[in-house]
Amino acid sequence: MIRIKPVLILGSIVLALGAIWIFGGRWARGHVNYITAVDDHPLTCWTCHVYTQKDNFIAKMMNETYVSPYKMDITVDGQLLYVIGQESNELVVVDAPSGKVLEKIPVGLKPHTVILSPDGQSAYVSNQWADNIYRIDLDSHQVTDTLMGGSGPAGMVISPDGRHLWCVNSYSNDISIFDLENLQERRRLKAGNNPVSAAMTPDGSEVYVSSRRTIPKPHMTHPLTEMTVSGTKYQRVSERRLFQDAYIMESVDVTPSGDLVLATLIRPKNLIPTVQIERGWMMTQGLGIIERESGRMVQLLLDEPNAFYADPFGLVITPDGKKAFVSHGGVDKVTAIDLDELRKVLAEAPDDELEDYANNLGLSSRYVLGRIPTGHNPKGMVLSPDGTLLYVAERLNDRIAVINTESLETVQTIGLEGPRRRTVARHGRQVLNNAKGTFQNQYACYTCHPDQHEDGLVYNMAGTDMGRNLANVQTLRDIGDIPPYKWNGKNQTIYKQDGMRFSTILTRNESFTHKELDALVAFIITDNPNPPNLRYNPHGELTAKQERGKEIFYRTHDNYGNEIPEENRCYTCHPPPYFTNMEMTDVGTLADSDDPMKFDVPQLNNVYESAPYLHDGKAPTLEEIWTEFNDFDEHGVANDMRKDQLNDLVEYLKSIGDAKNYMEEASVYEASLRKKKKE
Amino acid sequence: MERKKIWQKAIRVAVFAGLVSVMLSCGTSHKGKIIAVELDGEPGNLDGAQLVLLDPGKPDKESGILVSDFASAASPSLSHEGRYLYFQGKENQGDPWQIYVLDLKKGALSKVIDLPENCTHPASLPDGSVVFSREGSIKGQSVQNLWKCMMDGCCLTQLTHTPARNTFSSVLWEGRILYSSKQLYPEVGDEQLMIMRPDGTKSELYTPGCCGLLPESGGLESPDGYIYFISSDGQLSRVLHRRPLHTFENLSKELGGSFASVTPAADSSCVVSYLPLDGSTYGLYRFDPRMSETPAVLFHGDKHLVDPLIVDVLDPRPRILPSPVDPSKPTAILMIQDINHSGLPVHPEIEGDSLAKRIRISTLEGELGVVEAKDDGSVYVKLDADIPFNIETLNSQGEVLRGPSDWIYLRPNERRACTGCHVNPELAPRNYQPQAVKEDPVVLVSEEMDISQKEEEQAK
Repeated sequence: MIRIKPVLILGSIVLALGAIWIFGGRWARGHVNYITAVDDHPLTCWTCHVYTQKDNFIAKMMNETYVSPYKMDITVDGQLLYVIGQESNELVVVDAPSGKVLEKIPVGLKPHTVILSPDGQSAYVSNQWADNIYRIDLDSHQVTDTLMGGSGPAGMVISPDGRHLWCVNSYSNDISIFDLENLQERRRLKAGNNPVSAAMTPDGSEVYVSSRRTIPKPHMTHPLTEMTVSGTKYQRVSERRLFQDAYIMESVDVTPSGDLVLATLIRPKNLIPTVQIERGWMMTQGLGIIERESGRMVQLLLDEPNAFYADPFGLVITPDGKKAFVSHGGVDKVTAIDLDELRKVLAEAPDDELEDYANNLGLSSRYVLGRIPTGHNPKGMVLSPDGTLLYVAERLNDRIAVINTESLETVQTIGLEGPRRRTVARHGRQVLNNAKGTFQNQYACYTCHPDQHEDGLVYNMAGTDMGRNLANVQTLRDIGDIPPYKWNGKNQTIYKQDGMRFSTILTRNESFTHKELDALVAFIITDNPNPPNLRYNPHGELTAKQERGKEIFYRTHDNYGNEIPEENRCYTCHPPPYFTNMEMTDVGTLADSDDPMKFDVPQLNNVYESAPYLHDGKAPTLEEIWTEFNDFDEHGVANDMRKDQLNDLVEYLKSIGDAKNYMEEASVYEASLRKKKKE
Repeated sequence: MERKKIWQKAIRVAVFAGLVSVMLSCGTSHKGKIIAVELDGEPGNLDGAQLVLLDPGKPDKESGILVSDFASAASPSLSHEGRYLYFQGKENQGDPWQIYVLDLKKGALSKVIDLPENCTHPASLPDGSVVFSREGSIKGQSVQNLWKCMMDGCCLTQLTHTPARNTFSSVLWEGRILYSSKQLYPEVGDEQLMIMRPDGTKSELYTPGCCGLLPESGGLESPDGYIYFISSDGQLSRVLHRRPLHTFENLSKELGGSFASVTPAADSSCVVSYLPLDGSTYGLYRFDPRMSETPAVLFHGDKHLVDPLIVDVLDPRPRILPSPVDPSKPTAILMIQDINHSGLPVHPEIEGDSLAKRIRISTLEGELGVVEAKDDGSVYVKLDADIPFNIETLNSQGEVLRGPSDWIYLRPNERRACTGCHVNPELAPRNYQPQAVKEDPVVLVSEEMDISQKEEEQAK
């Protein structure tokens, strides 16, 4: 017995290990196959269970805080560069000739733009996620003042006399004009949808503000993106110029002679069934131009018939007005443009052929001087005062490239002392921002998901037939815990969402490698918070209207005292913290052009910035979900509501912010559910 | 003691096994060498042609025949990793050309396909398959279409479906296949380079040549983004892939002599098969397009040397493109955004309106049907897959305004769209929802289609 026992124990262990090896392996294979929706993804447990950790010890070990240089400005003597560190929340001071980092000045959350005052005494930094602007004294490098304006401050310009600062507010869709003597907001002007960049004419008479999103428009009609023109004398909007079939106008600038206003833009083909990519069938990118004398608006492409330059971002014009440079965040390149040649093309363009000019992929060969390779994700740019050097923020490399504007070659790279290792999430961010995953680099994930959000457009993805199943683009922010994905809920995980079918239907290119897909998923899950909802819920306390709206949201009886069926209450399908129950539901919004299906209940965090609404984007506003598309109370009982009640409900919905703010509310809700079950 | 011996033996076996595996993995390296076709007769006559291996480091050394026991062997093409050499061969002179593959690492030779027709001009694709040109007959006319199969011959699929000579294919880095095409029915057309995805979808014109020079060979891509090919009268030409329709260059204008074939090298120079003005046979030369100097001789002998290729690894390899083709679905859909959007003038003899109201779709067997366009000129149709068809635009009086177009085909489950009829190919589409796609497609299927399937389509 004594001898048999160890043998039995050993045998049992061997058998157990064998069983684990055989059945565990099979289980793991099945599990990974389910998660990834393919059968060849490596069985590497840590890609899902380590890299995707959020807010814990492992996450802290895994991740790093990068600098992520974004926009820049330079002193008039060309000696000092001031660089926005978008992720590190710093203003990095760099000695330009030596390329040495001199100092890192802490600034507010998600800084966007830095601009130096004409007297060189101050720098202004717009803190996009903090809703304020810092004034920094350039002698002491101390934050001396905080300017308060609209929500989401972004691009800025200062009048030549240094008296006024114009700051565009990207979330509240307006422009704050500050008096720099008393640092008070003097005036607020309405801008386009999601304005981000501003430029002043050389004579200081006008300010042009470019926007990213289309203005509200009828369903399935042309995107119309506003360039807001304001006179500086009376500080009023003089014109609202609409660029048709264009959006994401990230940067705007004016030529030194003041004859042209140039803006980067993307021309999406969202209204056409997306059956191919060849010949610019999905996205083209180029310039929006306003000829100031005639007022004519022209669009010209920077792409070529078989080569696309995704996500144009930065735009600068040399002091002599001869060249312009555009950075392309999606293809790691800067395009150099001969402005005299561009003017010739404009002079030849008849008014009745401007649409063909805007779609002509061959024209760029006339005015593009060259394409200069850069590091990952080039964003903001600034020229040395004499125009001989171009500084380019390589955002996802934590570097500044220095390009000779004559030879069009990179002569130096300046490291910003960011972390040396590339984390998996950082790699994922590079994958998301780069267009190489798409056939001919036509667009990146980022193109339809700028800042990992959504672009506000509705596409006909033509997954089966053309013209059917229109899809409103959904946000990527904080979606890791709320499967399934896609409106039809067919993708159980982000792995599947971005996997093989994604490449067949969307990118029409070789699918991501396993490593790229792991990284992309890790980034989407771990590093994508919603911006704080400072516009509608700045202090975490609801207004009276929002409180009344919340009561309606959680109501169980209608205005007539009738009990609302459980399935027809707002909170049943939209419970906190994400305000989705992650179930497939029919709310009576199926269109004739849809295949029969139910829809995945969308989350409501930061829903205010996700217009249009419903799966096919047919509701331009939250109100219209119920006033236009809820005839039979299938999308919650709402037809009994008075107008003021609906307004209150909408105000409450707009106040909903990031899920982390609703954990307690979710616990209370779940407890009430448990109690109800017991009863 | 006994245990020690066992350990020693085990170590010896392990070392030996390691050495064997290292040797096997090394194999025979031909990197940097040139494979070419040595002709037994005049250019154009492949009878007796042989594949030869040449070492640029030893130009005086006699060339070695790469594959023996073939009556003729030609059209070499290398896989992206530089290991597998595909070629067309005849084991006996009376045999049809077939496709073979030689493993350069192991020296193993195998026949890829065994078909009764001539199969020529293989090109390796990055997914391990091979595309080649196969003879056939349409309307009594001998034609050639492109087919694809795996290295072991399985999964044979026809890619192109036109009454044309489709041949000389090569794969570009972006993953599409470039090939030469010449329409043969009903009229004989000009040679032109076409491009398509590797499943045969989205076939379209790449370049028709320029300035009276037609492409007479396939095109090969250089690392700096040029497509090199031989055009009429033995001229060496190239276009820039980024904009192929408007970047044609004749590189041999000032050189004289005649070019038979070209292959770009990794350093952006080319190895060409060239016959100088004072020469008698085509030899292999190195030509640097940046220098515009006379090609420098590499190999030259009594026999013509053509179709050179450099043994190398393509890094990065061409992309493997996904495919929506579903062989179980017999149909495909086509949408034309605006049938009046055209770069062609209307036929001059038209007496009625010059506005197109409908299109007529015809197959090789005759008219398939007429489809009314919507008010915005859009048309949306469902058609049989893998059937060549052409399109004419008609006015309200039924007169033909434009067309017929070149032969087009759709692959099973392909969803194809175009902006108009012979529109400037450099124009991206206008962004609007065509009225036609707001309804189901007009179903136009040929008589051969199974009736029940037709009913099912209609019911849908």
